[in-house]
Amino acid sequence: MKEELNERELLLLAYLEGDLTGAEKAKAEALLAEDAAMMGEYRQLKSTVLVPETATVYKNRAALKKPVPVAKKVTLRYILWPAAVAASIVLAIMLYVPQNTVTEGGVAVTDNKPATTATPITGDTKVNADVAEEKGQVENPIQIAVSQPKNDVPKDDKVVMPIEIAEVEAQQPVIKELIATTTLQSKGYEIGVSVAEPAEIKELQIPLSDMAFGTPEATDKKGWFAKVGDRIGSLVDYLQKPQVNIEKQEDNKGKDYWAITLETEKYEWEGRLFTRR
Amino acid sequence: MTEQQYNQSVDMYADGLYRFILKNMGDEFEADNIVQNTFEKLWVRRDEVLFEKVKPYLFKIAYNNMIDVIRQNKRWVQIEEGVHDSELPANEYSGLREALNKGLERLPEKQRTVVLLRDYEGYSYEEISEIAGLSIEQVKVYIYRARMALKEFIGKPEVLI
Repeated sequence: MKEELNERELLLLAYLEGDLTGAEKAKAEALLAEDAAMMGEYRQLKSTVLVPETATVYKNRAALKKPVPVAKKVTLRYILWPAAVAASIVLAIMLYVPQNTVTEGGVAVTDNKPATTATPITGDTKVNADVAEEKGQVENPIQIAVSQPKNDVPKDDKVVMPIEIAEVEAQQPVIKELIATTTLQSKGYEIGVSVAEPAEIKELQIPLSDMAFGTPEATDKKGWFAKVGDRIGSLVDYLQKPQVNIEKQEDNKGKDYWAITLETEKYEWEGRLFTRR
Repeated sequence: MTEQQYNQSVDMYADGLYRFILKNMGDEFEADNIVQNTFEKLWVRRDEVLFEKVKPYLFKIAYNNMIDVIRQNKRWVQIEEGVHDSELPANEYSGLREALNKGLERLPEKQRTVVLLRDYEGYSYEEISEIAGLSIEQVKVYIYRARMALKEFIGKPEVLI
């Protein structure tokens, strides 16, 4: 194809596209008035200008949007929160915990089957999966347990380590969406959140906002990793009755990690908690 | 770019981006995928993209994605010069707009892209050259050739009947 336009073609194009200055435009119009063939060609070219079909719209626009993080408000509940947790723990122990409670690694561990109800795992709580099932339906928001690093302890499954809670703030439902955000508060660990079905990402609108990107270490799933202390993003559109399951697993490199599964009626998220070494 | 500006970009440009890809590819499913991928990339790199520059950024990402998809699918029909008379079904197009659309489908990829960016989005030659990876002179040539091809196409008696 010829890579250059001649003078006549350039003039026609510029006039058609409205790229001429006042004087140039007047000159072009004079030329067109003198040259009937050129005027005919111009009119034909003008008829090829396309008009956007504004009736054609993108129907999934809402799915593209991301939740805007809401500034965290310091309220009384944050001050009272530790006390409330402590009270809950005491109450839970008094009411439900049998004497043969087992705790592994400071994190309540299930026996490879998901808990049937929402099971917030709290610091110093000593409950196992069976106890969690006995508790019945719990309406608390999702909470993710993150084990606290502790120096000078052997990296052993049986080592009991205190737990710190990464609280999930449930906000008011927006239409059909329930938005929740969480901030990891532990230090010295990385938590990876991956999606069981990457294809669901778009539908779920997991926005990954404020999430630090890193190498998806020790996982074969598409995921996003954030350092502890970072917000791990919002989990959008999770439904009621979330089930939380935490269990110790081993990756393909033989590295232990805590698998955190958040399961709802419709979706499932899987997170992995690795020890930074 | 903030999260709010990202969402604003969705409102402002999703429709135009979708129309641009749909017109180029003629495939709603592919157009939908490309739009989603494009905005996902914008979201990931939102910290690096200025809100003022987001439109050309989106169109460039979408255009490159579209080219990749086309190459992968290997279903692109290259018609380097003009249109083939043998492909013109007689008495098929009732209106100028429909005839233009059919003519547009028959344009080579580059010609179609530049003319759509120009007419649909009102981009300048400079912006089009940046999005499509062409020189400004090439953009002018492609636009002119595209218009000439469309003119020839819609001027055919069997098309205008």
